[in-house]
Amino acid sequence: MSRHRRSRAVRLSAICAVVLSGAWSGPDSQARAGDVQPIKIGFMLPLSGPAAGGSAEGGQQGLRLAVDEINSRHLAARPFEAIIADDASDPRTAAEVCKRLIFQDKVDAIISQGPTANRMACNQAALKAGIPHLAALSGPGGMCIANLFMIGPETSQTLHTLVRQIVKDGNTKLYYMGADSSPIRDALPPAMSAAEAAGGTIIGSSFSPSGTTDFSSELAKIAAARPDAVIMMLMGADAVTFSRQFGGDDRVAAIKRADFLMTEKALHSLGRSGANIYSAASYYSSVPGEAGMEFKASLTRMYGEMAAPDVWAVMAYNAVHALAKAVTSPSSGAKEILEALPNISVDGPEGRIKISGRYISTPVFVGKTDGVGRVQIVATYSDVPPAAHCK
Amino acid sequence: MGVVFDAIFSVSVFLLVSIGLFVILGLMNIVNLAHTAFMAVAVYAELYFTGHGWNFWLSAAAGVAVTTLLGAIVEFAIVRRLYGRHIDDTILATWGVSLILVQVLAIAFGSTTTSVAPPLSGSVKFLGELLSIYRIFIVATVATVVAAMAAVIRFSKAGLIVRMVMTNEPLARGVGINTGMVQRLTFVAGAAFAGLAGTLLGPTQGISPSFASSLLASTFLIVLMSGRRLSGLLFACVAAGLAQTLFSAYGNPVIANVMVICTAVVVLRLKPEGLIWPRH
Repeated sequence: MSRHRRSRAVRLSAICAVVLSGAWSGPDSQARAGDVQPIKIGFMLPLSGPAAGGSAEGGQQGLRLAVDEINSRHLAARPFEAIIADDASDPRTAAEVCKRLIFQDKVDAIISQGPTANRMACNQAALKAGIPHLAALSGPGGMCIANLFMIGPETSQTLHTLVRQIVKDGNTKLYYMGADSSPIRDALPPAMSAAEAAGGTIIGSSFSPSGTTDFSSELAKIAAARPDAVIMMLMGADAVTFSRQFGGDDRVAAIKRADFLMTEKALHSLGRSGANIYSAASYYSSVPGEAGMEFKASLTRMYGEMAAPDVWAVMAYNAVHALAKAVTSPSSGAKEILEALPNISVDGPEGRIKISGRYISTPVFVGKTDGVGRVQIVATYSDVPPAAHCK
Repeated sequence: MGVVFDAIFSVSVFLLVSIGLFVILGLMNIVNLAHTAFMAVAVYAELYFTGHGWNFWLSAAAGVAVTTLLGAIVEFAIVRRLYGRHIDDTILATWGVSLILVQVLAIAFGSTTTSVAPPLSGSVKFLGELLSIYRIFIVATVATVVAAMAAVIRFSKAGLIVRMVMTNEPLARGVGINTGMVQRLTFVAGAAFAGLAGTLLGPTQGISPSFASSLLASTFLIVLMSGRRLSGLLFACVAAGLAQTLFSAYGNPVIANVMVICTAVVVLRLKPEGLIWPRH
């Protein structure tokens, strides 16, 4: 084999890798025919890297379903077109991706489902360009930025509801096991206040870096602290890794678990070792109601067995519908959308959400996994307001 | 006692993951950055077969077989073109293979994290501590694999050939050894070890296409500390495992991760030849 041919093999391998690694993005949905230019939405989420795995399937499916509904039922004054982009779980990539979406693809709005650092990195370009940015996920409150709207519950809405429910069920001593990230660390003091207000206390906390493969030492610390329940605030694969190791460790067998960030599919995959895990979110596929049933049926029609009707799908779906409501005339653009968004409500699969400041009032459901990892709803709070108040 | 067993388990995991990298780097001078991607392929194969009703052990064996076959294909299609080339080329090529494999897994199975149930559940009490049976099984399996490997290298004719190729490849070729075949089999064996690591660790981890990728950097450092000797690999894993467990237990996991890297830096500064067993 000549040196030239060997070099070509190396180069071909690298080129194939870059093409397949998700650096490419393209229009996701055909715009409606006609003279009216489509509203372009840039949808950025982690499709690779350590944060991938949470929103990847559900988020894309919810977005595509909403775009399909808006275009087929003419729910907005302009057709919608989505461009999906991978932030690679990396803030620097997120910033570059957003610049490309805004200045090259000329999107009218951005929807994102990445970690807070990626969202903020992306938003620098969006804010500068006056582009609305809808973060379709649960996240920390207190960020009042002109173009940024959280179309998911802020952490306090779900976490504090969850903490109150656990304490109410007699688990007064809690342990906080979180990912080593600023939003998760910042969520601890308010969670302590919520626990104390409900009559409980958080007796210990640990934080582990992303990609931890062995939680033995943390499990030993939890066993030594002897809490009634552990609040798990881990992300992506780490959440499942921790739950698997927790479920297989008899030192902590008597301690209850409450998960805050795991997807329903991940909870389901835990099977028996994931039984009786408390959880709280703005949507579960077991949420009763006609809208929820219709949402699941639509996703199943589009994706069959691969349908992922989870909270990520619902938040992306709601974000696109919120944008559709803000596009009231064929001349509506980024500026008009930004003006309209603060007064918009959406009837989503989980019930009504209403934008309030830069956050939303939303239903919150507390669930518990059964023996096969399905989430059974144990309490419903129909209209939980955000704690953050942005003018 | 709990900390001691946690340290033994941590050393075992490092050994399990690094042994395939060690074999390929030691014999072929190839840094296989696709190692954890091979592990991911194995664990997804295991997940696929358990999902189709196979029991865990058969699925694990199938996972190892799939990865071994994949190793042979990658060796034939890409790696054999890199023998004798600069180490940078092998890094670039295997990194490319890794990205392709991860994306193929994401396309085929989705990116949502899932998991596979462990085949052994429950614990045994030992010196007042509850020890997970499955973790004991992993430790025992790793000990067996390392002992068998040491025996093969030390006492068998195959081991003699391998040692000769490692020491002086042109001389080995000169005395009639098919060094190309030895290298081919070495890469396939490295892939098989990755498969074993993936299938054994699968039930203890969240499974996503980037499965175990966070272990690649630390295990690569371990292989560098090993001095390309099996005894060196054992010492390096003990050093990294102790740093990981002790700093995690008495500090926190963030510091522990940093300390594993610091350990490698200090060792390589003081003993650039690696943690080699002294020979008299």
